[in-house]
Amino acid sequence: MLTLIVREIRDNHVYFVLSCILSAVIVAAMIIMMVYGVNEEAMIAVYLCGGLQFTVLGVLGTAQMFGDRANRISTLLSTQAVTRNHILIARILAGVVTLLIALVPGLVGCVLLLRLRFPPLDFYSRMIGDVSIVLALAGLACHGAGLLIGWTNSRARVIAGLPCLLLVVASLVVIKGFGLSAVVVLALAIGVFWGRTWHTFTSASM
Amino acid sequence: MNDKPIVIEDLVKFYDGRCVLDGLSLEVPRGCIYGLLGRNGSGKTTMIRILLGLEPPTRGRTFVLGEDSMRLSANAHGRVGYVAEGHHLIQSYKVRRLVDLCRGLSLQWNDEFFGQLMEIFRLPLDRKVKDLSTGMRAQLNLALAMAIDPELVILDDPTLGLDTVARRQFLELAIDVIQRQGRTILFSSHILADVERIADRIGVLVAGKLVVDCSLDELKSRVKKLRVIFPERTPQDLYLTDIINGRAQGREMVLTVANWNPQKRAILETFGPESCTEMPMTLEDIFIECTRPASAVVPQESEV
Repeated sequence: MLTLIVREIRDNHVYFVLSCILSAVIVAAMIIMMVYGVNEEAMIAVYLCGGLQFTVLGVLGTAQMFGDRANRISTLLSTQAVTRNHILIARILAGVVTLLIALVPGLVGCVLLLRLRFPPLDFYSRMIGDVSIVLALAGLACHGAGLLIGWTNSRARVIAGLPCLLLVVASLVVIKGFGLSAVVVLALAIGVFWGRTWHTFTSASM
Repeated sequence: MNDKPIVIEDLVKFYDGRCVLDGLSLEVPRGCIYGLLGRNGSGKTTMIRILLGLEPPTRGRTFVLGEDSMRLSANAHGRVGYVAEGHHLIQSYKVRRLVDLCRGLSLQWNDEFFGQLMEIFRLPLDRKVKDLSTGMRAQLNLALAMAIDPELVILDDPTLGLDTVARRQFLELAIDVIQRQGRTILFSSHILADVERIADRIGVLVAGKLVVDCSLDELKSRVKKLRVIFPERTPQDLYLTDIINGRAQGREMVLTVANWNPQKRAILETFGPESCTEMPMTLEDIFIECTRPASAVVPQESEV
């Protein structure tokens, strides 16, 4: 399994590097706000990079599946000592690694900023918890959407389909906020994306 | 250990409404080198792909090393070496990286044997797979398939695109591999001389049906080509069972008959031929006779 995960990361290292850069920008913006106080420019940078992180996750999922189909990678992998389930799980785990790169530095920065610049209220720690869970699920949903849409030979389907699914995930977060209902809806969306991807991937001709 | 590493039961496969495999059943015993022959589009590759779980069947079941092909475990996959037609290697990888990947995914890896193969083939580790010639890709594919010390080796037209020297080299290596005990090989090829050289059992696929499934010696002894000369014109009512092909011109009739035996000779004698001579047949001759559109299935001995 580790070999498969490492292969996924090496083959798609561009997205991991991109995610690291975006995280670095977010952390830099947080540091600026810690030192000089909360300002509009830094907040815009955080929101923009945060949004891009989710797009990167979606594109990563798409690249993993589309690249596989185009280069017939799974045809080779399926004849090694692994099953298609292993291949798919490795892809999801590679997505989780990217998600951690995308979320953890930003959330740590956010916690530090709240401690330094805001009064020590219990409300903030609960808010950070809720936001973390919803963002993590939204990230997984974006990656899952990418996996689902990427299993095709049609570039047009990818170009049209991925933004649509990412917009659906974004609107779920916007409409439902960061509460329990958002967690339930996103969990369902992840279930649908993973379930459908698993079905198409495991029953397809390689 | 499974006594029949390959079992196919009533396999049917349709592609876009076209029947590619039509009720195919086959069992390959352990240690057998099975040569699968068939013309282009006869269903050889489809059968192999279904066996390996790369393609779902329309109907029927296939088992590899005792496991259902559609639910093959990682363990079963790891005991099968596969050389695909067209060599499915990751083109964008360098050879070294591909080797490392396959080594990392294998259950066991025979470094010594793999090293020997790489030396024989002189494959460059620092070149990208897409920059290798077809022959080199075939050799790399074979080396990767053999390095895992497979229990079952499936070779789908592995010599396709190889020059004569590389083909000979490949076959010599295949024979070496075959000599290792307990290994079962399914070998599909267009090149009949290759199959004749290494196979001990032959299957011929024609339009998705297995029309021949017997040992090579049995096939050669059962199928006979006869040149029969009659005193006048060839009889219109000549009937023998198991005629695979026959053509008549004037006084001469050339018949290809399966399961030729004294009874059939006696029946033929009743038509009063002037002479009846057996014409020698190579595997290629038999293959051509069996795959002609009008040819009939070569039945089992018991059916005669």
